[in-house]
Amino acid sequence: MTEPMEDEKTLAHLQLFVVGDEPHSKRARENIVEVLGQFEGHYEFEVIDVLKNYRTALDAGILIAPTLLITTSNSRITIAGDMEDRKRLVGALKLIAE
Amino acid sequence: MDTSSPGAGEIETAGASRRAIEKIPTHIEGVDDVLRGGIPKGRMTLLVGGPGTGKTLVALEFLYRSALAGGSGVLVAFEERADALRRNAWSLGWDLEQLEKEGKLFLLEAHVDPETIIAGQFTLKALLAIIEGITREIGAERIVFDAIDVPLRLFGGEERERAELYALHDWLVDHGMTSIVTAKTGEPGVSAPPRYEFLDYMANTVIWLDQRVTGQVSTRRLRVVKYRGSDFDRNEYPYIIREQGVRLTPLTSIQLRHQPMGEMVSVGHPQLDAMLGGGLSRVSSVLITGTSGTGKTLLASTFARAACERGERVLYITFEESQEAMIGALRSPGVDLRPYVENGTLQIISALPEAMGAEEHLIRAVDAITALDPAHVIMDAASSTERFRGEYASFDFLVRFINICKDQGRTCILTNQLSGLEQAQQVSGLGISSIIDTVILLRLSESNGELNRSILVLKSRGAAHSNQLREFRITSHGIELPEAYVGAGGSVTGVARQQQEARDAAEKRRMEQMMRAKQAEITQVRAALEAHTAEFMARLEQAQAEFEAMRFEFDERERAREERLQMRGA
Repeated sequence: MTEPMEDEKTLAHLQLFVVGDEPHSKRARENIVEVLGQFEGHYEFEVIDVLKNYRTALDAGILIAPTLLITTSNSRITIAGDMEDRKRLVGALKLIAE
Repeated sequence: MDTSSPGAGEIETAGASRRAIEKIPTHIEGVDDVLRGGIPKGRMTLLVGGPGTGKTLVALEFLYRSALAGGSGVLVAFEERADALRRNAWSLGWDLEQLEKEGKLFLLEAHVDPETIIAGQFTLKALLAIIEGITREIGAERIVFDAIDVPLRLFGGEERERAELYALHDWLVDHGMTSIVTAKTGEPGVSAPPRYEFLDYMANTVIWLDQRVTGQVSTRRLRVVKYRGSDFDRNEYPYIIREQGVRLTPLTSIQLRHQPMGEMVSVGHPQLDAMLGGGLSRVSSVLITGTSGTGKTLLASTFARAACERGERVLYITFEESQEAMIGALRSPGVDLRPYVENGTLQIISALPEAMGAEEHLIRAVDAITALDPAHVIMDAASSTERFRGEYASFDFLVRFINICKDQGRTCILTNQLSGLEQAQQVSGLGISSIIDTVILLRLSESNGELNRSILVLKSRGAAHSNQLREFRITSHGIELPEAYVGAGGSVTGVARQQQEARDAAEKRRMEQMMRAKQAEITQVRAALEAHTAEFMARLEQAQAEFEAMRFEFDERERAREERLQMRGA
């Protein structure tokens, strides 16, 4: 967990799996974008619509939506939900940032 | 979603019931007969049952056989690993991988990573989107959701579970999917767990699988409890899981395939033959039942000796003792089997029930039958099969064993050891009574300080058997059946009248015996009912306690995780 922080630009790859524009997915996206403001430049953020790209979700084993996958070189964290519970989202991001 | 709400669905199916409902076959032996053609096309069928009843297997067999017939399908496995499913299927001779390669079958492992952090509300829509993609890709019209109770637990609230289930149901109906959804029940006889009652309501067809212990032998049973818009067979059917898959055994139809019963052969005792209405039919199945020491082995051996004397080969499978011990023990009641063993007409094989599983026992028996080609096969005691390794093997074994004998035209004689507590009427305890043609009951009873054995023919298909309870004596020269009681000094009243009196007395005794037995049965059933009720209450309480413990642990973990995240984040 104590990777050297020589590369400040991309600490982690964020993939948010959504289902079209159903309400939970929309809220999750908004919440993540807002929270990411605090961690600018550190994260690569990608939104995947399962309706259009089910294979990626299948391969990643994503059954519930919205789900955020945070992948770093040595860890992977899965957070599910509309991210209304921002504490947990922030906690997970900070964990990665350490 | 409003257009396909459950209310609307209900009206639609009610309308459909006036027309003939469209069905698709499950291709599972026997099941389509019970369902009068199959499961409803484009609708949901709920398959409920306790653990170990074979829900997954039944659902998988539907997909497998449909795929072989050209219809592709998807199995969504919420509990089992795809690899485990492939392996289990392989052991039944099903090559799932080939079907997967051909695009006829898709095994979707749907497991939510237990490490997932929950941060707000979510739905199963991602899963539905994945399934939609797969079904489009392989053109599937059939889908199985195996263990739907597992993902529902994620939602931790009845209302949200219900909302997810309705979304799932709507999706299935909108896409014209024919589906089987499996769910675990709590206890036998209890429907879906209370919180999944609405599953029952949502499904067009509900099938129960049940595993129950009757007379110490476990049997699996299948029953259709509901079929909206269709007639169906409401009976319970025993089923077995055999090498090719699930098989319902509507026992009466199996009966029809067997060779007809043959001529009568002597059991080796003229009075017994008379009681049996001439002897035993070749190719019939015979159960000799009684408590320990009533003479079951002696009776079976007497029959074996008579057959060997006629030059007919006999295979005697004993689970009770070694060949030497058995031959030795039979000498004192005057049955010497050794010459027949020596000249090869009789083969005794002894096996320890616990030594192997039912499959191995069956293979051994079949091998011995094939090698010897006997006219008669004796199994002593069939009740020992419950000691076979493997929990639910006995019933399957006996049904298969009897069927093999009947199919091959051999007489099949089984002995059944009743425990002291069981009553005469419990001969059906093995769960196989409907494929048994003749039942002979041996009893040990005490009267006037004397221990007496008695014999009664409870049933004998196709023979005018006696229904009299007769004294059964074991002497140094074999079985003796004294004439039914006739008083001494009968010269005064004349033989006819004396016999009439004796018959009346015997009839009275028989009725008294039966009434006593029935009374004992009532007492026993009542005791069993009370014991069961208490047991289920205890199990319910235990399950509830376990659930509380799980929830506590879960909450604790979540709290700890949150604290950890916060501490690290701070």
